[in-house]
Amino acid sequence: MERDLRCQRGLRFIYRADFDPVALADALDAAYDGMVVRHVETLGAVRTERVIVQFQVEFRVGERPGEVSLTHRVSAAPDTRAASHRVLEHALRHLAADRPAA
Amino acid sequence: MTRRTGSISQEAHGRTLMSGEPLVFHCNHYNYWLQKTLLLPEGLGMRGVIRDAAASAAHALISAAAKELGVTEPSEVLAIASDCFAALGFGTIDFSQAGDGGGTVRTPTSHYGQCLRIASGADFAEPQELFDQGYAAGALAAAYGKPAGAYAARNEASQSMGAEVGEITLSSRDVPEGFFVAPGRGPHAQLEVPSTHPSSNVDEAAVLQALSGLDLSGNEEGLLPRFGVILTNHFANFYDRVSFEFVQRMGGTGMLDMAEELLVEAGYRCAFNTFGGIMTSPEWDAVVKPQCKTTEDWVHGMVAVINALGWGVWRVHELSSSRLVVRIWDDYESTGYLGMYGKADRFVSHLAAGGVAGLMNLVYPGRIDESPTLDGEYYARIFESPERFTPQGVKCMAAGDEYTEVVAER
Repeated sequence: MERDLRCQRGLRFIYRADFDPVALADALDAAYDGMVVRHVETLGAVRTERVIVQFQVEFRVGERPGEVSLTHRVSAAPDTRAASHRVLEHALRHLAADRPAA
Repeated sequence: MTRRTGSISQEAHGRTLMSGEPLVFHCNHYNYWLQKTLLLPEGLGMRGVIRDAAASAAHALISAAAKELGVTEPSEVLAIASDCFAALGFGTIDFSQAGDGGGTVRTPTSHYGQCLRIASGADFAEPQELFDQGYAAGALAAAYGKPAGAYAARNEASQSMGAEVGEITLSSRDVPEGFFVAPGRGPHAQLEVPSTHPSSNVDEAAVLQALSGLDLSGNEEGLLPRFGVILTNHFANFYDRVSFEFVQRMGGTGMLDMAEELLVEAGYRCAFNTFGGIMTSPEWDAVVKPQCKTTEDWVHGMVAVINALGWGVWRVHELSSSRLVVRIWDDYESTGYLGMYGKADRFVSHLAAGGVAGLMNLVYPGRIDESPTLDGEYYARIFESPERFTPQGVKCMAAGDEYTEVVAER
């Protein structure tokens, strides 16, 4: 996990892992019991799954291969921010465990 | 998320208007640096200038938007004002405790209150929400059919100083003499803009088409995180008024050249953070980077993106590793100057000048193509390097030229 040091310093984090973007977006959606707003953003050949938990966090899955960004909403409290990281890390671990061994 | 805002119109030369008010994108780091610059010299009265510029632009936008939508009831006009505030990336604003005589306006989220604090890295000693104060005052005046300067505003609680929610108190006042009136779209060049540079491998039309599909309005917090920065789709007339008043007031104390240099420096900060953020973003990787076959294409690619920011039309006229000449049609500094003050007697496009040199600094000494970390150390390394580029304003539309021209050289 890498912290973005630019203008969103403290708000944006990049995780790198091997995952299927749609499966990860579905897992995040399920982790929040469907209380998310989802968009698909297509830019050139890149398809990004956006999963937004309003006033808490936005996950952008697949902007770059093997990357998911986590951007806290500005008004998210520290415990909410910690929980957002836990949700994403749990989803990534879960997907990795489900992946068949090569 | 449905918001009732003014109508957006795309005009020639890359200009975007909402209900007749020209809009330009800028990030929190530029907004922080510009405001820091404006407030640096004591005694210029810039806090009032910033507040009143915001009030005037907001009043013009909201009055026109309400008219377009056929709305006259003050509470409905204020709902439009809240929606515009959020859509443009300024935050969220609640007018429910304000009325004809003034009252309290709350900002649960605020670009100026919270996102400048992110850029500075610390709380401020004084409220930074001068724009919010002006916006609130101008909106209330528009709702009650009063002139833009009809309310005074001050922050009772400031998020930039650590408060959880911003609170602005509005009170009636006599409109100050000579109160600034935003000039709307201002003049517009009727000239044909040449096509992109023949050496470019970047398809500017394709870049603009791709970017037009992005949602660049505020999220549910009324904020606009994009390209690794936090954007606002801001009033061009606001930037112009505060910048030119700063130059005039500094000039009155014998520091004209220093004022202009400080605004160019703000342009460097803009280039570093906004251009740098864009050129290291996933969006760049998806749309522009695949077209970049040469180092020069990074300049052409960024110029294509700049042409989506509402800053006028930039054209690369000449480019080598040691020199860039950019010509700009309808740069927002020139159009704003002409609308506010008439013909200029000198070059006024300082943001553009800083942007042109800043772009070269990122691409050549900065090697932005190697995805460096955009931190203070990197800024100092490239913008203080002996290899750095510096700009010279050669032509300016505000001074009567057909286009604005900036030359950046090592």
